[in-house]
Amino acid sequence: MIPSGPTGPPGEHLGDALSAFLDDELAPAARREAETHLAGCSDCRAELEEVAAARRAIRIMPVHATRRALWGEDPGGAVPGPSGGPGEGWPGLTSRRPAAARRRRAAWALAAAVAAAIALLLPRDPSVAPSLPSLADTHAARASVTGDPLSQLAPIAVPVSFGP
Amino acid sequence: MNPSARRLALGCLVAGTVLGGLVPALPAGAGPAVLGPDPAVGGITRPDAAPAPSDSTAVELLERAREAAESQPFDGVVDVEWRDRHTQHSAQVAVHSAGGVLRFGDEVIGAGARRLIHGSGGWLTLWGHDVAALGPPPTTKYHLSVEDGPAVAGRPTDLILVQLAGTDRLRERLYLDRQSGLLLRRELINSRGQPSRSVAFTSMSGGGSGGGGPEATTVGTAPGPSRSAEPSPARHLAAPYKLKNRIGDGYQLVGAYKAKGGVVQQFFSDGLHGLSIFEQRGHLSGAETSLAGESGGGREVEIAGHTMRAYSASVGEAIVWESDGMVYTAVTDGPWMDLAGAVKDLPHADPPGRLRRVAQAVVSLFRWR
Repeated sequence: MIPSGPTGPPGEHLGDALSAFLDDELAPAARREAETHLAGCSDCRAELEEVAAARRAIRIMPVHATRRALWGEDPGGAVPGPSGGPGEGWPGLTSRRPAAARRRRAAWALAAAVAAAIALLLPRDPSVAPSLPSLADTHAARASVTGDPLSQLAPIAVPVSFGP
Repeated sequence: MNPSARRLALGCLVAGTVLGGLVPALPAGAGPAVLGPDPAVGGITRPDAAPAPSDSTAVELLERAREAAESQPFDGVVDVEWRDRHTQHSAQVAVHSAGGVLRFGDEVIGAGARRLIHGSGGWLTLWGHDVAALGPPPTTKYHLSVEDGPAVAGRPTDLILVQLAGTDRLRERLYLDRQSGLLLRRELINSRGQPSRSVAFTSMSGGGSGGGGPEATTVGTAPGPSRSAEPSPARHLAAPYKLKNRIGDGYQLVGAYKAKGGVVQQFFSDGLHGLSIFEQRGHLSGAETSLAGESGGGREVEIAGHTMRAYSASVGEAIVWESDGMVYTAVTDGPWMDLAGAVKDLPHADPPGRLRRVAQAVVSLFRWR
């Protein structure tokens, strides 16, 4: 939801409205009010600078690092720092995906793993390469018993090779 | 026809119908398929109607040719020709018959119902027992006419012209030796009226010509086989194998067999040609070239909207495909169009993807049975 103005009564710190301020999502009146507050509040200016710095850092992070964080694989729930090294997490930027969603994803992953296991464990039909010369001989032998022996057997006396 | 002969003919027709009923006609997916008491002798089919005089003469000539091949002593050379998509192939085979043993070069022997082929491991038995399942008479599907033929291998012939019943399209020409009755030349005709495959004597001696033929003592017995690849009659076929009583254009099931390696063969006949469907559990290997043995990887064909691989050889035509965990290989000595028509009647679903297999497995966990 786009905030319509600073949270809390006038005179209090901007808090979450700082993010909306940076995103230029405040209504014109609320933005003027926030600018007025920032002009007179060093704490909010410092916090605004921190949030802005954090955003810049996130923008230059490697994509895979972001993805891991979104999947909740970061042990501390913190997004790695720009270099992705340990201990460089950005405090306060934790994965906010609900636990239920994570459980659903885990269930789907488990189902996919089971399906893959079933596919691998299914009995595979044996590979068959019919021996055409042998089958042709078998056919001719049977056909010659009730058909004409001369014309049925002579063709298998020449090397049987099946061409295109 | 006098009354007693009519009663005899009617009795034969009834008996044929009863025996023909021994071949199962199970619907697909109706549980384990069960063949008759002896699939090797079940499914005798009798003529549905008395053939026309010309047909009758042709059928008699064909039966005589079969008997002559197993009884007449002769020597000769046979030229086998076939065509794949772009190339004409030809190979010659020496044929020697004496004492009821037919020998083709040093590679193949037919003796009675035995069929042996020579390989690196010695002689191999491909077939070893008599069958009474003759399949339908050729006159069910074809119209046969007889006329004077040209000389083949220097011998006068009777020519049987084979046309699809009800059409004037020539499908095959059969040249039979007037003297011995032997089939001297056989030509399959393609849709352009050209021979697509043929087996023909280029020279012959003996064969009832009186003198000059091989003596029965020169080849009296077939060699004892060292190995056997003879399939056994399949009395029961459990799912996923499915028996088809009839397939394609007039091909009737005359036998089902199990071979080594879990291969099931269903053998069909239209009275003149054979068509085998081999089924194996599994999925088709990606190395298609290994299917073809020494040459080529076949060609892609589209049948009933599905892409399959087709092959041509001296023996005939073949198509390989897979469907629902089964690999099918169809082989015929008949025309290509007959094979394609038969394949249309068989399962040819696209193989399920991995995701579909997972879904099927999950769904199967919740099936009641």
